[in-house]
Formats: sequence, structure tokens, C-alpha cells
Amino acid sequence: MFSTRQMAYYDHWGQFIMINSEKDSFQKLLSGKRNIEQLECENTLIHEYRHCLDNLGTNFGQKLLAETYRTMSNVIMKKKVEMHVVSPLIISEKVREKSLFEIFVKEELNSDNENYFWKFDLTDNYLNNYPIQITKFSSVRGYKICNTPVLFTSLFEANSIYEELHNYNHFSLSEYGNNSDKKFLDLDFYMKYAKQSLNSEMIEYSTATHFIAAIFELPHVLNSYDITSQICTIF
Amino acid sequence: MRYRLDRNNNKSHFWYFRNRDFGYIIKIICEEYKSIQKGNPIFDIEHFLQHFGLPDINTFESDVINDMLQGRDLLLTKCYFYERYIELMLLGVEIFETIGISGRKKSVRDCLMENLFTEYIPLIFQDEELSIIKITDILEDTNNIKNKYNMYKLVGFLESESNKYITLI
Repeated sequence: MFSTRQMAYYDHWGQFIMINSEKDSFQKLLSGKRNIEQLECENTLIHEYRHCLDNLGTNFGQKLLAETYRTMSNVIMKKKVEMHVVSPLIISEKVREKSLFEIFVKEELNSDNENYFWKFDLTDNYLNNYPIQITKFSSVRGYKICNTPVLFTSLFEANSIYEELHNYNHFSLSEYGNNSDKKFLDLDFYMKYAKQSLNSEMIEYSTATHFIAAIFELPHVLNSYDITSQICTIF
Repeated sequence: MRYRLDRNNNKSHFWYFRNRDFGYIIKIICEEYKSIQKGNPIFDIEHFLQHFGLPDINTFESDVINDMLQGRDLLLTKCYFYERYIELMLLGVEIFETIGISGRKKSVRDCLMENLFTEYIPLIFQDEELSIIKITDILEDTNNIKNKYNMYKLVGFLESESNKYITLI
């Protein structure tokens, strides 16, 4: 389940989107006047929609689909399910159980300083005897941020955030056009996403993006979503 | 990418690839790609595929579709969800044929704006009445899961039960 935000989540067990809002008010807002609130509503939908298309329309997503349905069918039959520990269905849970995922910095990082430029080191670790790479993120000043493997959730999340940014670009062009304030309005919007991606509580979702930003030495983590999304689709 | 796999001496390399360890895979392919990009900030997916000895993008996409269709055999026909799985798997092929790699044929945004595939993706809102049908009644007929509320209720139950049946290998 991808509960990236409180507003909605995509359930990859049942392939539906759960919207944590009243139906009438959500739909009214969605079809209403074009403004920032309407855009946020649209972005919520496009974000979860992309999760669903990835789940159904990619090779990796379909393998996950088959494993999910095989598991659920066995539960109905009350039969055991043999599962690899690195299966996407359980890996997040197992990584936490084995304490391979660890957050050191709890507070939200200030996004307008050099913390944009994270460093990482990779180390070998084991999950039930299977080797797994752990990424150790730290700030340029050496503060520890977190330790985590790059999980499929962060690949799917990179695609969905990319769609939100793409949708915003359309909105910005159509609504602000050549407005002299456009630059500032865009910056304000992008800052929100930058802060979200730097938020250590949500690091599981943005690990792949930071990882690629660090390898390609991109000056801004938001530049990384487009590239990450393309690479993620190949898997 | 396979030929590079054979050349690597890291003792865990095989397992990282086999287990699809994304951190490892992304690291080695991105670092190698970065070294040949020579500072060019533009990421070109076709060049990327070519560099790793993968087929051109059109062939690559038809290979992906063939792989997806092979997925027909991943579930036994007697499985409760078999019919739904096949339906979704074929829908997935249609989605991929429409969008292509990373939306190169049609962007995901355009698909949503044109309401493509939305009839197959149910939205459930917090104030909607959920079905009061019992799990045992839902299971009596596979047609029951065509109702989104029944599906919501059933998968919630099966997901919570799944840990009892999973054996790690």
C-alpha cells in the first residue's frame, strides 16, 4: 500500500484508490475553477493513478500483481505461501523487523541550505542470509540522516512525484503564462516538494531520487525525478 | 546488461542482480553511464539502452510486452483470482502499449485527462457506504469481486491474514 500522504493511497492488493475525503467535495473541487486547491486535488489523483498504471502496466508491477494474487488465493485456501524475503510484498516489513532501516535525523531538514547535497555510502548487509545493499545517507557536514536499502516503493514514488511536477508545469504555463511572478510562484511550489523529499520521516519514498541525484551530481533533487522515473520504468 | 554481470568480481553481484537490489543496480548502471556522459546533463533513454547493450526502444518495448504475456502462467487456473488477474494483466499490456517507456508514446497526464483506463481503477471515498456482505458470501462467487466495495473488504481481510500463511524461503 502506498500511503504517501494523508489525502489518498493506492492499494496494490486490490487495485483501487482510496480517497480520504468526502466524495462530493472532492469531485466538486476537481471539476471546479482552476486554482491551486484544484491543482492539489488533481495532483492527488494523478499521483495515485500513476501508481496503478505502474502496478498494472510495467513488467515489475505485473510480477508484484501475480505474487499478490497468488498469496491471497492461498490465504483463501488456507494454504502456506512460500515467499522470498526480498519479495516486494514483504521486504519493507522485513527491513524494519531486522532494523536495517533507521532514521537518525527526526526533524524536517531545512531545504534552503547545503543539506540538498546529501552524501551516501553503500555497505553490504544481509536479510535472512541474502545480501542486500544498505545506503547510508548523511549531510555534507557529516550528520547522519538514515540507513535504508533502495526499495521498490521509492521507485514507484519517484514516478508519481514526477507526474505531479509534470502536471504542475502544465498548470503554471496555462495559468501564469508570461506573468512576471511566475518564477516566484513556481519556486514556492517546488520548495514544497523539495521539503517533502528531504523530510527524513518520508525518506523511504524518496531514497531512489536522492540516490540518483547524488550519483549524477544534480544540483537540485527535483531535477532527479525525471531521470529516476525513466530509469525506474526500465525495471 | 547481462554481459557486464559476468565480468563483475564482486562475490555478491550475482545475488544483488537476482534479488533485484535496486540500490546496487541503480548505482552500478548510473555510475557507468555517468562516466560516458562526460558532464552532459541530458539523460537520453535510447542512448542509455544502447550503452548497456539492450535493444532499441521499439524492440525493447515489444520484449516487455512478450514478458508480460508470459505472466499468464504465473497463477494456477484454479486460483480464486485467476480470472481477475488475467483481465488486469491484459489491461496492463494495453496500458504499456499506450504509454510506452516512461510516457514516450502518451503521457500519463494525457491518459488521465482523457479518462483512459479510469473505468478499471475504482475510487473509494471515505464517506461511501461499504458493503455489509460477509467475507464468506463474497467468496461464494468470483463475480462478487467486480463490486469495488466487496473487493475492498475482501483484500483488507486477506492482507491482514496473509502473515499467518507466509513462509520465508
